[in-house]
Amino acid sequence: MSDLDAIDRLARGTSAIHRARPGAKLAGGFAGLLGAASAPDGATVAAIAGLWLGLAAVARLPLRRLAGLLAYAASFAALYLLATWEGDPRASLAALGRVGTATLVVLVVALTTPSPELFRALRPVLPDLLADTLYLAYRSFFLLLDRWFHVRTALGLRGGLERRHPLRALGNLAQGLGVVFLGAMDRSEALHVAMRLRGFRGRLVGPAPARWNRESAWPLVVGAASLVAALGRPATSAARALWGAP
Amino acid sequence: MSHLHIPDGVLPWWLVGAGWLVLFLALRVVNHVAGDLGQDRRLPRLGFLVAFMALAMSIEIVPPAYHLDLSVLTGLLLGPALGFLAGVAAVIMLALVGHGGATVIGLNATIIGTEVALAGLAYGRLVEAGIRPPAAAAAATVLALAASTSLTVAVVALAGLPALGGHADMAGRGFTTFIAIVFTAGAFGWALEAALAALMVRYLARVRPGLLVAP
Repeated sequence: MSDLDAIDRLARGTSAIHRARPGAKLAGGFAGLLGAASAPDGATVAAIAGLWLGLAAVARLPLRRLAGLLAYAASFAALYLLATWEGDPRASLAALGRVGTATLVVLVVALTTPSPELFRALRPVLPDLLADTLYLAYRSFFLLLDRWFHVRTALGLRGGLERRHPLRALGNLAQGLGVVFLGAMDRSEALHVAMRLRGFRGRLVGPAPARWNRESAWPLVVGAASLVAALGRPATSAARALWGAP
Repeated sequence: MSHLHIPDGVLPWWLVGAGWLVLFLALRVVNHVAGDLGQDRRLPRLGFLVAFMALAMSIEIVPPAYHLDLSVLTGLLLGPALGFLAGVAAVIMLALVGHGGATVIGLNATIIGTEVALAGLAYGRLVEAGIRPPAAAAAATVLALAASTSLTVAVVALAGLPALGGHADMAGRGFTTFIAIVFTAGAFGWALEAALAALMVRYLARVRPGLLVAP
């Protein structure tokens, strides 16, 4: 099953964090990201990760699924840590923690907010063309995924994807993807006609914005706390240096 | 994956900011070049091709745990400007599914967008030069992936490797190992991706040759 498919289903939950306003989650997530990416040491990273894990627990997100999604980002991070290796395992662990925590922040926001609402909240900061593209891509993805499942199942049942014959399997995979690709082209033509018939004039309209509620304070508070944790100590040190305090 | 994906928190803020600035300027150029897509069939096509890229990126070939990319098909069907936009949208979608790199979307999106744009451009030029479409697709794929990998390595080199707050020697063993890994594993991925792109283009040339005319 695709990650996007799983995330889409989890994002339609009913917890307090799911009910929070998407704009509040984005703002809190942004602050959390800045905090995670600029945390000066391992202890601060751990504190920020703890805050967001707490939010994930309140949102009743499945930890195993969360860990599986985090592992992907960790594999990329390991490659970069190899390049930055200076013989200090604690510093490397802190760097790995920064990557993991930043990804955790994004996942908590993405797993508690349906994508159309997320794209709508992002629209003020995205160019119109990019925002429309994301809407259409999100909608199209599930149509293509459904078609790909059918094609893959058909190929598998007919022995077309056997690992013992990798070259033949590659050829069949290419043809299967080609079928999905042609289907995508045909559906895009049909969508173009449908959009024109429905009076599309160059801008897609998303769902109505959610109203402010008490639950919206959760991600804002956690985001602000992350930022304070990351910037608090360096700011204090800088102020002390400025005033000549020991 | 055939392309690299810079994670959060390993690059200095000035470089992250520069990435966002470059992406912002590139998107302004794309908006200008693409023009108004309001009544254009390219907009739904763009949406479906981004979705197709995201779908391809979620397909894993086991072994060797390789994720596809298929940027060349997107590039050749959309042209460089919209191809760039498709790459940017695909990176944003990936960041939202936890692939990491949310703070460095500026750099990642610029690199992948460039890869898609370059793949489409190279394919068009090679076909114009008389090379058969499958071979042109394979060559364009290798070229685009090599370019995007080199760009990523250049970004890491530009950063001076300050990820841990230290000052690693750029000629040091870590960076040399990094380059060795990304270009060795990358070359395998490029070959696999090139073979798949060539086979797909051969299939499309048989059943729908009109699609393979670059815009």
